[in-house]
Amino acid sequence: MNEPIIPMDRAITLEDWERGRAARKRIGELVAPGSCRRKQSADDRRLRAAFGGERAPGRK
Amino acid sequence: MEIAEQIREIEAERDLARKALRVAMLVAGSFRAIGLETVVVGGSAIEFFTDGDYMSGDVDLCFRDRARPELRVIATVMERLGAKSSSVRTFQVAGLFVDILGQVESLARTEFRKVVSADGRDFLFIAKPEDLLPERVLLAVYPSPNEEALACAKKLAAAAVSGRVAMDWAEAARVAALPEYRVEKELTELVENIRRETAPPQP
Repeated sequence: MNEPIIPMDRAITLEDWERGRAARKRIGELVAPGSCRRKQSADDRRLRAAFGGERAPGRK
Repeated sequence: MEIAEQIREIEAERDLARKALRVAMLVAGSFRAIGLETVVVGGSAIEFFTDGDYMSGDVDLCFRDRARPELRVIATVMERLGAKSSSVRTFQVAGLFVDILGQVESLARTEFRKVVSADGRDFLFIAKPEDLLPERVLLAVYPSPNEEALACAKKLAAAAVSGRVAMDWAEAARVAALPEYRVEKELTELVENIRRETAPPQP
């Protein structure tokens, strides 16, 4: 495992957080494929009004 | 970098997790300037640890050491960022909603996680995985089974089991066993399953 971990007792830099993202996503996909975003919440109205009917702005 | 320039940069950011982190860091820095520390909680915190496509278009910030200050204090800080007010607790910054909540609730005795900018001048506290995991496990089973919360708990547990997120497992178990959660058995089962699912194949 070469990716930086998110440590407990010291800070992580934004750069190291970025470098570990793909690996964290990959392991998450292994146990729970796909998005785990809630389909609705108490904030739905404002979110969907602001983001063209979605609960978040477009992803990268 | 001027605040207006930072806002423009963040507005142009297309990656939601990165955008949320940068917005939170900017807001946290503005509260820090008046002596108040904040912590990212909720979906943005989960996203920070999992990249699980969990968060929606809002960022939740709580105060680390005290209750929410007077609304006029919050409004003044947010106005300096050019934030648009949607309600007394909700603002729009660089295209995301930011909810300014009360004092952070934490039962874990571990430290808040911390992310710092490249130059070390800006930083941000993030909720503890030892709180987040028992909380998601509870939401997965109570008041009724919830598949989205379960998927979220699995992703977070997997990130920790794989060693990519440092987790104090004893503390997570202690928190899970507290009367506020009572999900120690469910947490143990979930983690055992994740260990099996992510174990390298035997030769």
